[in-house]
Amino acid sequence: MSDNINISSTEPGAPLIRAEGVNLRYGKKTVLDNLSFTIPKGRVVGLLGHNGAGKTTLMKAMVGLANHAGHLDVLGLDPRKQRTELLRSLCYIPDVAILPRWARVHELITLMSGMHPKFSADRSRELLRRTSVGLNDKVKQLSRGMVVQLHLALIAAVDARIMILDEPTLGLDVLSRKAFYELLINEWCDGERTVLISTHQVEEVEALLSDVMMLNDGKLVLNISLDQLDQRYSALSHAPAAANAVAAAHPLLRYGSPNGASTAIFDGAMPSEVEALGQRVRPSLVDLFVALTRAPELNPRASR
Amino acid sequence: MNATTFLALMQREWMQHRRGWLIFSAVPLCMMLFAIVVGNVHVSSDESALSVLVALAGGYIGAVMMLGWVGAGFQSSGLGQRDRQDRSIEFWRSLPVSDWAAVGATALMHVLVFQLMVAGIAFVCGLFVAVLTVARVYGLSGVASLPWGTLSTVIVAAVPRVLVAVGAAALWAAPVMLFVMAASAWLKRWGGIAAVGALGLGSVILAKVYGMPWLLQTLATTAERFRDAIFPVARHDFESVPWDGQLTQLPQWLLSDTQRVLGELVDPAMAWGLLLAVLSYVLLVLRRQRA
Repeated sequence: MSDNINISSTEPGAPLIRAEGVNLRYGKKTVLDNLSFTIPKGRVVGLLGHNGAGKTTLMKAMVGLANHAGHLDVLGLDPRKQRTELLRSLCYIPDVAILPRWARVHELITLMSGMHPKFSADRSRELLRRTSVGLNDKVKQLSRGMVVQLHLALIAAVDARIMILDEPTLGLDVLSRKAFYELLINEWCDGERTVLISTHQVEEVEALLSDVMMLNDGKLVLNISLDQLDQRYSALSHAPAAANAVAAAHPLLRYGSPNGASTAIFDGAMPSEVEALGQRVRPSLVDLFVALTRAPELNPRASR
Repeated sequence: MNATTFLALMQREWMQHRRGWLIFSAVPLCMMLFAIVVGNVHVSSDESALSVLVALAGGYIGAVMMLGWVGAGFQSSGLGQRDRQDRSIEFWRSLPVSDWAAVGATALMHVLVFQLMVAGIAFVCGLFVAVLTVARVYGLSGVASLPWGTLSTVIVAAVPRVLVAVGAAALWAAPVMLFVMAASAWLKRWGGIAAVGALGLGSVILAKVYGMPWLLQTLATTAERFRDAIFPVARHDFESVPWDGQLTQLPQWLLSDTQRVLGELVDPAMAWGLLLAVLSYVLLVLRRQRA
């Protein structure tokens, strides 16, 4: 049974992104497998998945860079047929190492001003003032972290409704990642705009997210708000002696902790006799991610 | 697509290539200045200061313009792959700019605007170099003895000829340049060579082996018209060009040559060329869409 839950079922307003039966194949390989979901406004959505799960492909489909089957509309527009119009209200960072290396920062600001009708040069300069990037710096002279700051400052100066970020902090040190998230949350998210961010640093972004989508081999195995996640999934920390009894209740995942205790994650309410065997704790997003995306023979419930 | 966005796209080309373009335009001047100042300048005793001025200025302008086209030709093979090598194509395609406009701006800047810049700089530098040479050979008195009134008329008449030269040469060269760009975009490193080889060798094979000379003739006509657009004297004997003693006739001669260059644009070879240009343009857009 697929674990797709419609995020927008209790949210007011029309969703910004709507997908129904989205499929995408590269030759014989299915990259996106019958995805259906909606994303409303004002959300920070984490798109999680292993390498090759389909995260980048899904994002490319949303910005009109991949030919998909099925229905997908972003801001009410067809990403493939109305791509130029869509990009006026959607900003996208496909990778952090793609700014033209020959350009100076002020040249990029000038070009963005000419090419993007909703770009504010003053806003971008204001954002850059808080970084170590100078207006006369050449992109090729900047460190990777500074390039990321520059790219985000340019994108955050666009008055867009959706921001799509594909692993924006890849290869950055912890300080650069922290600066990136601060800039994103403090300067761009205003409750009306939506961010869709894919990342492998699940623990870092967990505190920023309002919703999470998990892909596994092209399938959407989880699509839920973090509030609902706490209500649906539970974890039990127990002594090793209770391991057999806990295992008999078929948890999604069981793992050991450095202190010798074991933890088991359950989908839905855990049986009362099992809950009595240990202490209930909140499952982390990382553990849930592992539980739902590991090989099906190890986790038969994840494929339902 | 609006004018602001298209101008920004053109501005991008200028920002990225201006250094190379300006250096390219300055090198011939620097070489000529070095030769004039340091080298030995030999002029036949039969030549007057006026004939030296006109021949050198015209030759300089024509030669530098031709160099500009050679440079653009080499650069066109790299333009097809340009933004892919550093992946910046992903950045440019994340902006609300149509692929048609992006390719069009690149083609316009490299096929026409860059050549206008080269021609303009060559025009000014050509006159400067020619005057300097006259001064070097004949002294300041030689410069003072020149019929500047008539020369001014010739210079004014030469301006539209140079502008038409750029426009006409762009129309004749664009199909091949765009074809090379498209070939390198699709076939990568060997694309440009493959394109030139396909056109050249293919035309010869069609003519010699299959008795179908139309491609070879079209290419030959295109090359001839391109040459004639840049070098007004290419199709004439030097003696028939009215300079020196007949300088007052030169403006009219330039004007009639300008009209001839424009008239030669109406040619079946131009029609085939435009067809190739359009096809190449479409291929470039398709390739960009798949980037």
